[in-house]
Amino acid sequence: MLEKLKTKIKEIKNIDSTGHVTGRSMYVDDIIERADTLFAGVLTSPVSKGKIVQINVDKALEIDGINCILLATDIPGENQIGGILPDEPLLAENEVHYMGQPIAVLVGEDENCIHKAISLIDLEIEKEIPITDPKTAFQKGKILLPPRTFRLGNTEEEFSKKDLVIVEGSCDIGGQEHLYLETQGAYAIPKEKGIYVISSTQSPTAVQRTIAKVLGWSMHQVEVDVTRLGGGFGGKEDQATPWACMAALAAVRMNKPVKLILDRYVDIRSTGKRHRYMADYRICSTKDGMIQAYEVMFYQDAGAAADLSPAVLERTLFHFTNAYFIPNVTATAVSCKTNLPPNTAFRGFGGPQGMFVIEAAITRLADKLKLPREEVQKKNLLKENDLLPYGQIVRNVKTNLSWDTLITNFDINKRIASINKFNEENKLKKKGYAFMPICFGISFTKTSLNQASSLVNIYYDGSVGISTGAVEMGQGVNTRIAQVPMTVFSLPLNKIKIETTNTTRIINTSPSAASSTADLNGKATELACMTLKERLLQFASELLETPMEQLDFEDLYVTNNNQKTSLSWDELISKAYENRISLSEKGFYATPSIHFDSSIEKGHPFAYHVYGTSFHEVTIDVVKGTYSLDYVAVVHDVGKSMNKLIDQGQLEGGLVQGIGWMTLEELRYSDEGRLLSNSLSTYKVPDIYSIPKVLETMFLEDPEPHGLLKSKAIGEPPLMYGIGTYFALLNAINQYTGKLPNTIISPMTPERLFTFLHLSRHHP
Amino acid sequence: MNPQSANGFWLNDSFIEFNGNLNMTLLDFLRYSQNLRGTKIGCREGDCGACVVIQGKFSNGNIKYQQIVSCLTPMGNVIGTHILTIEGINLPNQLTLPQKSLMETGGTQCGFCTVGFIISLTAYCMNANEFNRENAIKAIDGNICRCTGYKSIIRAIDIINSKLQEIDLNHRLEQLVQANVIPISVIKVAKQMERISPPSTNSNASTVVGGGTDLFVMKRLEMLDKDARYILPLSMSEEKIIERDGNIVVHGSTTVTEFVESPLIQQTIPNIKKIAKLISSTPIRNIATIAGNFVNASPIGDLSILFLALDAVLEIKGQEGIRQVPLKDFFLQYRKVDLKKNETIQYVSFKKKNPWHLNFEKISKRTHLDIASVNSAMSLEIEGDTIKEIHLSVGGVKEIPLYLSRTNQFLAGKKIDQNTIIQALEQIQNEIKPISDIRGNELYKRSLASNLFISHLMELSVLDDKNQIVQIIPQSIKISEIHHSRQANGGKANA
Repeated sequence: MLEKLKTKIKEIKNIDSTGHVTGRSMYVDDIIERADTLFAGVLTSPVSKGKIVQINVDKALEIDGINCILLATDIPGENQIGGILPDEPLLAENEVHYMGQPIAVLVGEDENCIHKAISLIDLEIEKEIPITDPKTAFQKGKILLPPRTFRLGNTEEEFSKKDLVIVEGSCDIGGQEHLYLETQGAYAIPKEKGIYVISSTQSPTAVQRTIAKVLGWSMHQVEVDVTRLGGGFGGKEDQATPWACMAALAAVRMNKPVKLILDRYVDIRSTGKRHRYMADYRICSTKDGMIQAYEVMFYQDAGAAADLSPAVLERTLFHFTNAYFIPNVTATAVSCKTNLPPNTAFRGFGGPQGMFVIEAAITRLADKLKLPREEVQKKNLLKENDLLPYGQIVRNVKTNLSWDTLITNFDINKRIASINKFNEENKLKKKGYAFMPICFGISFTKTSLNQASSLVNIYYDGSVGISTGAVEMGQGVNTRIAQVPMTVFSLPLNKIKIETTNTTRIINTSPSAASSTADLNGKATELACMTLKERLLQFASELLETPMEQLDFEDLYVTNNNQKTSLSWDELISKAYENRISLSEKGFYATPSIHFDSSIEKGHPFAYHVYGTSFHEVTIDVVKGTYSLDYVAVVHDVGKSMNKLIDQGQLEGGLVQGIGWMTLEELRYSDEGRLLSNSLSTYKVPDIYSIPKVLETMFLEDPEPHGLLKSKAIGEPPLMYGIGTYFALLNAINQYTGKLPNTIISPMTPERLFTFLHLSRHHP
Repeated sequence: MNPQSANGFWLNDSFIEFNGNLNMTLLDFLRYSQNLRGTKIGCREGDCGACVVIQGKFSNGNIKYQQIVSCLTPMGNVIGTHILTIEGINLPNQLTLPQKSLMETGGTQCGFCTVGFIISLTAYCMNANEFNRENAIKAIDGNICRCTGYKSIIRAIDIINSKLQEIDLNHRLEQLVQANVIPISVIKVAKQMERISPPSTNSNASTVVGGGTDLFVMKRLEMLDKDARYILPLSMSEEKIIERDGNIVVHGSTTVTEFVESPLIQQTIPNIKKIAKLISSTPIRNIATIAGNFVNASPIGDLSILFLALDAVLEIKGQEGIRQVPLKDFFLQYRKVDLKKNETIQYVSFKKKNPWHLNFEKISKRTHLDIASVNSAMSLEIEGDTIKEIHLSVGGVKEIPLYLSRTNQFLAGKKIDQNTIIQALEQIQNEIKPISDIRGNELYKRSLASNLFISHLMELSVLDDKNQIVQIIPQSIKISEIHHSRQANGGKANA
């Protein structure tokens, strides 16, 4: 019976979905404004680099409905929002460093007057020549921090050995716009003792801390509340903060509520993206494809300020060998400062770029060895107890298992045979395929962030309210957390409410990021629930005069040796209250046994790794340079899945987002640093026709002790399967041209594919 | 409540008197005047579908309900119609079939796009002539979801379809009420709709608004201070596509959807549905007009390119009467057309053939709902093995949608062989002058223009010999490259 209930709990639908499908779910801009609410808009820099000579707002202030225009000089506290490095002003002062950098906040009665006023601000900027690519920035010494190097073995010695096949090459990996459907925004309401801010942020505490800093206040004067996000993907981890600060600044100045919602153009133009990376590598192997050494240098385009770039860079270094064991490696990475918006977190957080380069290196190595690419990949997959370059030994490795399961379960060899036959028979259409294994570490790489709190309140009518630091942004974290009290107390969903994420209820929260939100906040909730359970069963044992060890909860009743007793949940709770037993508990969780020493770049930074393998098949049209994604199969390691529907959604959604990054989604800048793909009509994300025609998936289930209810994190890892689609397309191109480009550039837009097919002499 | 009022419309189950600014978008009206915030703002350019609503229009004795983007729909195009938002779709105590299905399959994650999908799927139930996966996917081709990867949404579609197989399309609305797709209030309004007289807008403003799908992308706020004339409501009761003297005559205000769904059009252009799938998305096609695409004069306008290959002629009405202008002469310079102030395109006509041998190609980053790098259309009539009539057009390669006059002239009367094709490729390259921009660099566009001509020949079964094409492709590229260097050298020969 209990088992049946547990299965039922695992089958619950996303607890927000009723609100979503009926349009009743509220996002920041859906809150009906208080009548005295003012609106804010932002004047941003029209140039990528320059000195501000003067700003005159007099004419703009004359527009009907405009209340005030705030400049850097109007900031009462510190004009500083940088998290890792203090290098980013909220509003530009003296200099601008990227196009779209906020300069002034306009406050007025409606959108229309703000729009008119913006064009009347007299802004004079002395233009300077911007830097728009990371290698140039590096050459000019524009770096955020000294380069970091991860090492294993000795690469130099290895490359000097004879009888090894060596391949050198470069990559240029494009960035990616988050394109959360809900744009950035916040609604700030002055309160008697401070300010209350509703923000669309993945980091309520970062918003709170930064608002306090900008206002010159203390954190306890700022209350940040988050109901949900209309998508985040990392784009609202650090970059929800400035807009919330501006709304708060204006609200305090006017002593009225202020709402600031970015329109899509400002959002795309002013916010950071997934980092573009350039990389140079060399790789060597034996003639039969055993990789002996790999050297790589990563140039990260950090944009104009640090934001989260150093942390993203670090994760690149944690993932530059992907799912492979290579005995000798040297990887160096550096964050380069360009005049583009500060790049930021995006699902995968630097891992995808690290993986892309090793996949490119293996692709070209296999080509030189005249071996199938997958043979080289398979030979070098991680095995149990292998040592990763950062000193962690891998356990419960599922590289080969997921690979072999994929081959047998989806009859991949037959598929490859038919692809080969197709290519023999066709000259104007070519098929390509690729395997993509993944190995992704779970935990914040900054060890201190791996902590979370949960507040579990049982009201005396038996209903339960839970607050944690987790932010719901579509990933289903609220559903997973709700499953914890459902499981521990055997309660139905209607007894449980997941509260908004609020900085006065749960303090000092870590961002909802690193795929770890459910693990950390769910485990904290589990701890609190277990404490309450013990307390309640202790009390029940007194009431029922039965040893506590025999008691449990099932289906709203206390059971004795699995037999229902007469004591119901509601009655127990009510009596516990009458007997002055606490019905509230705080849980705190810190991931055990993780550590990392950056002075030697060694440690055990991850609680566990997530594995999996995917297979991708594509067809290209040689005449038109177009392509179709025919088939993708994935075998993915989910631990013991706690909600298959949610896991499936994360797997498919991550995969398609990764495919988008690798194929359609192209950030193009002019030489002056102007983003040309600055709207949904020029920046294309996958639509329903762009996804693989057939997608087959399978979960490998093996309980993970460090995961929530033995599950594994699933937010980020599936995105990296998308890289496989790129290499399938490259494989198809190779079928026609018989050669691979030296510099492997992403994304593979139809234009790039056409160029690789026909015009490689002109443009790389 | 006065359903007879000229300036009003039905919003969900209520009649709304509207005396506000007709140039305000429906989206702003819904969210900020009515506080109906289930309809979301995603991009304000018709590219995401978060704002779609259903519009019911009464014409020719029937009410047709279809999804439209509210961000690009001015209130001027709402008057006299029935607008359904999510608030008007929700049932009192249960979920509708699309809502339940999407929830069951996990087709909603962050939820921000979800209402748009529910609306589009509801419109599909109210509108599809057959309930199958292909039609349902087409109904949501204007909706972007950034979370799910769409597979779960397709699984929801399969559930919806399985529940609708028994629906009797002759009593659709009643049956959809029974199937929990729509509330009964929709039928009540639909009955009262019949009593609404067509709205009257007597403005003499020189700004004529059709569907508004381009205008309100560029000038949403500016339009609030302008005077505009709305032509769509006026044309609601007209017969829009007719046959006259061997020609098909299409009213300028015909929407793309009306054009595609016309039996007359389907008869003369049998592949029109396939072609139309490449042109924007369902909620845009439902409001964008044919003439609007011409007047907009985008060098890459899909309909302009298509109609150039139909050798279409415009009938333009002004104060001095009516004049005829071939479409190929209509485009003068970048975004400049042969249309005087107070003139409007009344009709566009083209020969009725049985049928047209027409092919349309469009290369864009994303195959659907995207703006082309290069698009091209070609119609062909062959007698024996020689070309009797040919109309080839290419977009994105010059400042106007381009009819390749010299290439067409050259090809007429020729026998199709490798030699002819190579010479035609030379002609094409002479006639085009693309520029590098966000949609592709100049050489890419050059090469595409040539290769799409080859694709036309393949698609129209003129070139079947694969080996021959394999040989032509490198030559085609080479010719493009030569012209590319010529253009780079300011037109001087450099071969």
